[in-house]
Amino acid sequence: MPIGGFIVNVHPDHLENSIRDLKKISGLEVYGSDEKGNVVVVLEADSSKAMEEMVEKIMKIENVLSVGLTYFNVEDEIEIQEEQGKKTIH
Amino acid sequence: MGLSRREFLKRTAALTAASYVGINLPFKNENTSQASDADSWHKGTCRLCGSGCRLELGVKNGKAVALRGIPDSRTNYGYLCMKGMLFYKLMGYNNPDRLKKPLYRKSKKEPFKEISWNEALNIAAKEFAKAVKKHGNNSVAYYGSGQALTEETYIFQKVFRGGLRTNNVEGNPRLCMASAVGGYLTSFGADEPIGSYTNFERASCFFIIGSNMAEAHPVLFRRVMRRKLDNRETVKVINADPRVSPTSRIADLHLQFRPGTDLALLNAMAYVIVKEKLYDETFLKNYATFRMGKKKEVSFEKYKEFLKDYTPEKVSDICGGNITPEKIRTAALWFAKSEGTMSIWTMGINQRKRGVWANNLIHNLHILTGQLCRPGADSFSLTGQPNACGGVREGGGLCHILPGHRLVKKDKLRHQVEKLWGIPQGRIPPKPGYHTIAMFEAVNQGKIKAIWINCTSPAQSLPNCDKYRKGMSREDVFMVVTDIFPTKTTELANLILPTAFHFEKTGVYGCTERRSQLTVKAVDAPGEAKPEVWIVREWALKLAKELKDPVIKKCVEPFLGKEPDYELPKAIWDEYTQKLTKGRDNDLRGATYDVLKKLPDGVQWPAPTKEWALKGGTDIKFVRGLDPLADKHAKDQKPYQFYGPAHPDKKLWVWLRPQRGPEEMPDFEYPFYLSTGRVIDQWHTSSMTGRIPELMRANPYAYVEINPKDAKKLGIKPGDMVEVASRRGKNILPAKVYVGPCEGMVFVYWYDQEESRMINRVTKDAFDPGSKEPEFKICACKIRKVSGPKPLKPFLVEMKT
Amino acid sequence: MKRLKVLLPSLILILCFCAVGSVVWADKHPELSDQEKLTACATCHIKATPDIYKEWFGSVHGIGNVKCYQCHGTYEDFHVTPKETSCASCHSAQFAKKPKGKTCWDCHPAHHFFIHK
Ligand code: SF4
Repeated sequence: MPIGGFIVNVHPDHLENSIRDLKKISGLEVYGSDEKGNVVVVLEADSSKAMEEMVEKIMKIENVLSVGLTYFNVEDEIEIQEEQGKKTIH
Repeated sequence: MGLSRREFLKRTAALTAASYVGINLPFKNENTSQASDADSWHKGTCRLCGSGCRLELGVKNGKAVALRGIPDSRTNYGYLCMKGMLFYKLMGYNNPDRLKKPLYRKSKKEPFKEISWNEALNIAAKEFAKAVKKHGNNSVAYYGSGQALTEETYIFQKVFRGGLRTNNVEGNPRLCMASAVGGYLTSFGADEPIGSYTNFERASCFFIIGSNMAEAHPVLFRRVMRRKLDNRETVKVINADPRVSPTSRIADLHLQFRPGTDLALLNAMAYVIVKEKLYDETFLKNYATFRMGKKKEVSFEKYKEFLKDYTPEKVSDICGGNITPEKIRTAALWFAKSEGTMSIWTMGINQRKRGVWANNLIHNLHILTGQLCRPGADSFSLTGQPNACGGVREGGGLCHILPGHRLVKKDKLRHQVEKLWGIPQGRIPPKPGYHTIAMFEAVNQGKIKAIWINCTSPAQSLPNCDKYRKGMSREDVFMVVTDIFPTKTTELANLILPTAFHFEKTGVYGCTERRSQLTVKAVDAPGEAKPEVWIVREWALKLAKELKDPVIKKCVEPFLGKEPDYELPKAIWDEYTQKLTKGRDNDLRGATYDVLKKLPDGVQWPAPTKEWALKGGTDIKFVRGLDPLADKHAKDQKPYQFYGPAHPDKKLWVWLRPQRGPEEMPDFEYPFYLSTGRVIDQWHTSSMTGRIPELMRANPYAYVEINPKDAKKLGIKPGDMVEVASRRGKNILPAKVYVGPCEGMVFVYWYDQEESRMINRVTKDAFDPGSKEPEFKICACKIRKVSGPKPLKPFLVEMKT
Repeated sequence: MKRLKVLLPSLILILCFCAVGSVVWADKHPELSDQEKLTACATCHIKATPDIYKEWFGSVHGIGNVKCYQCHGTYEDFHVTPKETSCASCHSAQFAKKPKGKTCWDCHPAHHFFIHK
């Protein structure tokens, strides 16, 4: 399950509303924000693909200006792939 | 507490993201520099000592982010110590270790499992009911805390006494100020100090004995320090203590006596006062009598006779240390002659085999010299906890007292309480329950089958704690622990119930100066943590069903259906103040939540009316014109009226109390005195302060302080690992070599949770026969170097599920 | 995975934006090991900055046990020059009255804390 840390840049005048909208996305957690409109969010998804879809969803939210990835971890996904790889070999 | 790998990754993700935009996240340490960024500020009280500093909690997006002092509060005038500035880091989700779900295990050998509140309360009700049915009402017990809110202590004791019909209601204040209670009652006829903090600014002599207030009550010490520094020539400070501490830094005179010779020293000061005719004859004639026993009054002449054993010459030999006859004379002179003398003490006096007597002897000096009731003159004991006075002393939190300073054994007072609660007469047993040491002794013997421990950690804080941990580990003793963090005591529990921290719930703390102060809920508790008042109410309802006893339900009936964050504690406070304190010396009827909310600080009792309460209440008790009860109870025209409930003659009593040493004296095998105490950065068992990085790093583990002369003899260098052993147990601690403790004495901090540094495994559980307060402060030990310095790690109990 | 890389430019944008913005990084304390961090400040600073230590020890903060970290923070939020809001935790009334454009220590010199310079 990949985990990503993002800065979502929203319009500062609509911070509260945007955060509320963001929180509606499942697998998304808001960790903090500031008055400049920076919102720290962490996404958790079943696969990288699912995460990309989530990012797209975020982009569609009103007043969201940009979404920036700052941290990405897929170690268990790789592990799973490796596990599965092993299985197919044997 | 270990994070799961996933959680760790998520945090890293969040932290990395946050760092790009300079946002501080709670698990990274938020700086107080964000103070100005808070959305709202909420008034409340600090809970990390007995000073009662008022402060405001800054809340941003529903999260606690900062604390700042309230400048117009009469307790602290805006100042905070480091603990008061930083404890917001323990609130809500700011700290990952907070207990968030009820945890249960049938056997103490099993790991804990998370359960629902409903299951948890069912189990608690069943186990307590089972104990009562099988082993009688005295097989259950409550052990509470001077950190519980008044509403909490009150409802717990109501359910135990009125519902479960037992007086087994105790709390950690027994370990802390029981001797001060005994002292006030026997000397002045009424519990709690006569004056207030206002005397700090009015006194011209301070007599600080057995207290390191610079570290234990820093913000009160600041007021004393200011007074001294602003009036260097005219204000005198005497510090009497076997240990030189940071408090000694402002002293003009340091009296360093051998541990356990304090009673002789105090009698010697009285001797000088009498001999040199420094006493106040009119004050004595008007207000005092001399006593040898409760019923045995004696003459002043007899008292003079008694004092002959305590000439400064004789006593300087008894006291040793740096005590000379000259120093005793100087101290007595300053004490008697100053415009206003204020004595201040804490555990050094209270935690003694003869703690009540030591208290009496301090009061004696004040009665003799008339240093009472006038500005700056006061005999003032400091409490260690935020609500030892308010909740436990006044709210009925000890085995022998009922709410409103009523004694259990007085039929009339007991029946009053039954009537006010609307329960049948005879419901509260006439016999006091087990006092703390007896209670845990009864646990050891299996006489207590179910015990509820709230907001305290006896497994670490009881003296000779290994002995009592055995009992608490018994499989046939069911133990419920309510707390916010895992502790040494939750390790021995069957059921752990997570509670809300203060500011996550509403209630009143009553500090050292008779002042009640309200803290209203400002942030949510994490997870499923709940306020205790809700827990007790719901548990009592289940208990009533289990035992088929409608009177148990009756005890919580007035509180049914109330919302738990504000309405419920308010209803409990109203019942307690309006009904139970009515007509008592701690009359708090004027101090309603609405009144308390209007004030920057709070209300000092007696405060029978709202008008009086809105002015802040009573600054000095017993003075006509200043104390409404002094006017009400006045028997004559004299300016002071000592109307206290314990003295039928309405007089102050000067006691003839001889010198008595500690229970255990150093000998050939155990040649050192061992004493324990606190450091500013850590509090009690460090379950809270240890989780604040600033505080933990400043004092990450306990030391043993050794006098350089002793260290030299034993070849101990700073940082060496030293074994401190007594007849009961041993510790291995790093050495701090410095001129703190006197020669022949070592001193250890008691907050450390690490087994080999937990000093209460070494201390002695002897106790004062009057107050039942243990003699933590003195026992015999031996010390030896075990190794050179070792890198050590701080330690806190973690929750394993 | 490939698509995520598309996001990177916006990340860089944000970084630039912030660098210009008013994000202030905590000034750094010299690197210490975790074990070394478990040492009371004064233990080293008696030797490292003896004059400052002496000034502080004799000041009202020294006597009143207001120690280093109460103003300077701990390693994660360390400031060589404390934020003034940390003064305001205790001295909020004075802070509110302070003349505009002056810092607290312009008039109350750091580590001495006389009433006025
Ligand atoms: S002195 Fe006591 S009450 Fe005041 S801030 Fe410090 S710990 Fe809190």
